[in-house]
Amino acid sequence: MNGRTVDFLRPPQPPRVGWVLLALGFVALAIALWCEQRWAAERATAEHAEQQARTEQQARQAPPPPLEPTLTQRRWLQAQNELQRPWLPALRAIESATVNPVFLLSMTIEPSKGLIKLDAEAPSFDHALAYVQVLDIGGVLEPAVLVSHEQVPNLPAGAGAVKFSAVTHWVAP
Amino acid sequence: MWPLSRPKAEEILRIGRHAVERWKAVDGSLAQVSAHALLQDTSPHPQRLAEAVSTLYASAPALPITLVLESAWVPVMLVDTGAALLRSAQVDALVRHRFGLHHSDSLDPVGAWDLRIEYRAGSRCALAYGMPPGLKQTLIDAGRAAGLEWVAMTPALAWGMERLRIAKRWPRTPGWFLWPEQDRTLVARVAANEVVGFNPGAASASDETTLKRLVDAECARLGIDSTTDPIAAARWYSVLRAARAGDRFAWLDLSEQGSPLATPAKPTPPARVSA
Repeated sequence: MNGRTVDFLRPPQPPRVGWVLLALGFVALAIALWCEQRWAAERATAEHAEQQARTEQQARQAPPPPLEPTLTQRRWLQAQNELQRPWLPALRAIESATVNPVFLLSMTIEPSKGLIKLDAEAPSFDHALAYVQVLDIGGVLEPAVLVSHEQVPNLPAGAGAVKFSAVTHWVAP
Repeated sequence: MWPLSRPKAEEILRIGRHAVERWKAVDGSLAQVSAHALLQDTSPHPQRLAEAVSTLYASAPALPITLVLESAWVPVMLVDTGAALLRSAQVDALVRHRFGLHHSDSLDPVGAWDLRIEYRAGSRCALAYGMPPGLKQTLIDAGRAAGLEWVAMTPALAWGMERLRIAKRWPRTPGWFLWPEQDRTLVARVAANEVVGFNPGAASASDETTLKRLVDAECARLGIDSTTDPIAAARWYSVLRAARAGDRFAWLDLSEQGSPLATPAKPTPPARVSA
């Protein structure tokens, strides 16, 4: 009852429609593979073109490389930096802060970093600390840091003194 | 050979236990042309068939002919294959064993038979047909000697089920198919396009009451309750009967009523030779 007539003249064979369907299946599979290969190549080409366009767009949107300044421009830039350094306000702030009984022993300034190192002497640690705390008044100097202090006992007057070092930076305009 | 390239059979040669009958296709139906009675002895002899063929086609044109062999010549059997999934070779061995139990003959061993098995993988039943090689060779030689062209050599039950489209008659519900042969009736229970119950040797019957009794007996043998399942009985000789609406019994006629070549109202095979 499988739809095929039982016949003893011919050997039993699988239904022809099965072979036809199998052949159709292979053809469909081959077409699918061919389409897949073709579309894969097309997809790869499209992706490559898109990547290239993206790269070109990024290259267009990137800022142009900085122009190399000339010697005159470099000198002018250097001079401008020098002019912009707050030498006078810084010195004026240090001068106004250094009052008796605190005495400035030495001062070292590194202009490129704006670093100011002060060595001073005071009759006591409290005077030294008060001096360090008033250095930034006026806003020209940053808050100073007391990096070291040393008690000096043998003075002619008989009283002791404190040598200390402070470090601060000037505030760039 | 492709199905469309196979020559269309113009004639049917029905080979039964009692007679060999020539049937001709007329407008999609069949009409009996002539018949040759066979001698009734203890067992059928293939040589008698050669004589019948030569007699029936003594002056006949060489038309494509389909040989329809009844189960007296080509035994048919329903084999229970069990629940296991069997390979084709296993089913073949099982069917040969079953045929050997009923048709063992030292001169014609079942191991040499040509088998056709209708077995659906996973099914519990296999419907098998066995063709003895001597019979097949005798028919081929007879056809060659008479200058005839055999289109197909098919068991009568398979031919009838194919012609009457029994597989599509009850697609959802099971039903009974009764196939008349000259010396017996084959009772088949068909479910889901498959024969699931089968009696290859029920008594000959031609009336509705007896056929229904055969179905009842088969129901009892199979242990099923089938009082409402439809019954379709094939018949070679059509008889005018009024169809009763709602009845589960239906006749399937192979010959056309009123055909000039048909033998009306005569279910028994005709006498020795008629032209």
